[in-house]
Amino acid sequence: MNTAVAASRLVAGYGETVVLDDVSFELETGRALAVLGRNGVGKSTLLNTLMGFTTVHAGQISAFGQPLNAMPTHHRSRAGIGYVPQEREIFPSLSAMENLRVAARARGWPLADVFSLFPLLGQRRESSGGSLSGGEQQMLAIGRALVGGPRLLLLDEPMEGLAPIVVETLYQALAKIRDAGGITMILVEQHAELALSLSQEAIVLERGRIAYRGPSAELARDESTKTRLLGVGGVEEAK
Amino acid sequence: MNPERSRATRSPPAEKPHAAGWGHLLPWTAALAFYFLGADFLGLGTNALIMVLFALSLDLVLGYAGIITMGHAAFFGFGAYAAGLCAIHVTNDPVTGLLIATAAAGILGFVTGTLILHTKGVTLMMLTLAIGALVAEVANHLRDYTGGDDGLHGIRMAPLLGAFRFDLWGHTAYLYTLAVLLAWFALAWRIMRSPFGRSLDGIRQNVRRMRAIGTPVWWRMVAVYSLGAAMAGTAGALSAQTTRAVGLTALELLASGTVLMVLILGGTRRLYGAFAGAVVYVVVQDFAAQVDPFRWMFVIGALLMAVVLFLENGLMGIIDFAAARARSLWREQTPR
Repeated sequence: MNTAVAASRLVAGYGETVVLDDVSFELETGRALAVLGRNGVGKSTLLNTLMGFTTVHAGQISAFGQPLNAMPTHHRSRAGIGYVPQEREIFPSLSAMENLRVAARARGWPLADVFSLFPLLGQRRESSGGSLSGGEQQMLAIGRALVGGPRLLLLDEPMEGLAPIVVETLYQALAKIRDAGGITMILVEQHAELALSLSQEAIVLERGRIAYRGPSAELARDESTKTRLLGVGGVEEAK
Repeated sequence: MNPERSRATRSPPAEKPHAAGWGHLLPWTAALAFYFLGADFLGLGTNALIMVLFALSLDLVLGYAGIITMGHAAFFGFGAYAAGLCAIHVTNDPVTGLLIATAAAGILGFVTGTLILHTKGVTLMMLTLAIGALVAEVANHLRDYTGGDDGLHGIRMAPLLGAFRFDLWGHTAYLYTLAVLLAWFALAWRIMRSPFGRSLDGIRQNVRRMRAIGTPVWWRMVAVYSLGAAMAGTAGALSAQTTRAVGLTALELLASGTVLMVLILGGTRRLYGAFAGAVVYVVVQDFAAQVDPFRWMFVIGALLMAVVLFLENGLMGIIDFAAARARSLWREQTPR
């Protein structure tokens, strides 16, 4: 198997502030990785670092064999990294269709496939991004990443703040994307149970360091580790 | 689906699809009707059309792409001088001169854009201001070519397309300017609806996100900046060709401020906002100057304040409101 993402002794943060400290991991192509941890431990920073939004102080990070350290953000996207940010960052004055079109590439998912994955989005294709509900915006954010043709999809808390029925819809969609093959996924999520069931591998961050790394199924069964690293509240809440 | 609604930042609406189609006919028919009905004011009308084109060029740069500029007159003046010098030293064919001036201003926009568009905010604004001052100073120093403070005179234009002379009453100048404006407007309309144009909207709203979806933000900004510069250069060239004179005022900060005022008056990111703003500005300026030649700016200032304070989307906001009201009345009147 080829390595999709590799981080080696990565130290990164925002300006002088270090958030990720000595983080190393590898993820093989086509696998899904759940990144878990309490608030403020560096989960989103890891994705931001993969996208080039942070300052890398030390270490190496690469995707599909290409070093990312000095690569501009828009080149990373063209290299096949798709990013669904926590805030969704839909362009409010552009219609749903325009939001997709500005990101579309020849090698990306056809718009019809995105609307097939999210039929509701297809019905609201002419609505402005700002008028969509939170769930619709999240579907649009995922669709916008897919039309760019990602080989690596980074998802930052896609279920956050959404109603249970929407969470279920998104869960099914992400499972389809995973099962379709060809896309490696890194999923940052507070809903630990959901993230673990969607992924094959998991890492848990604590104070910017990797405190646990192993198969998702194993962590899902290990109540004591989950309680220790994620906090009982977080897991119970997810349940 | 959950009923929750977005809390995304509200943004002024871009030109709506319903503005297309029949909506296009109104301003262009009015502009053409003015040719027949306002024969005594064709000079004023030509000035208004040139101002529309100038404001339109700023709308692409500032309105759509969000590039803050206070030196846009540099391109207008550069185009004007290029067209004037071309007419005097190279060829006085208006179309050739117009193309040369457009290309020259576009190249100036490209060169300066590549230098300054790495910056943003106040730094960018200061740099655009500096470019405007530099171009004005160069024009002032090259007195032998530009006439310096006295301006560039002696421009004689050949008949348009070898057949239509630029007459004293401004018939040819008006229709020529209207045709050029229509061509640029159609191009701008098309571009702003293309993925490139929509990406400019995206850049203005969220640069980081646009980078994250693979958009080469800097190049897109340079491209639209150059396009806006070329369009402003065309406006300047039209001004030189139709008035047969170019002065340093075309390059000054006041010209940059005026076009910004016109755009805000009409409404940004609307394309037709440039129409509304320029027409109202030129007409109000003309009438106010007739009433009081020394304090006419007071009227313009008061108008601008009123628009900024009460009309979020400029004068186009009134048109939007009137159109919405008319549609609503139409629906009420129409039996189901």
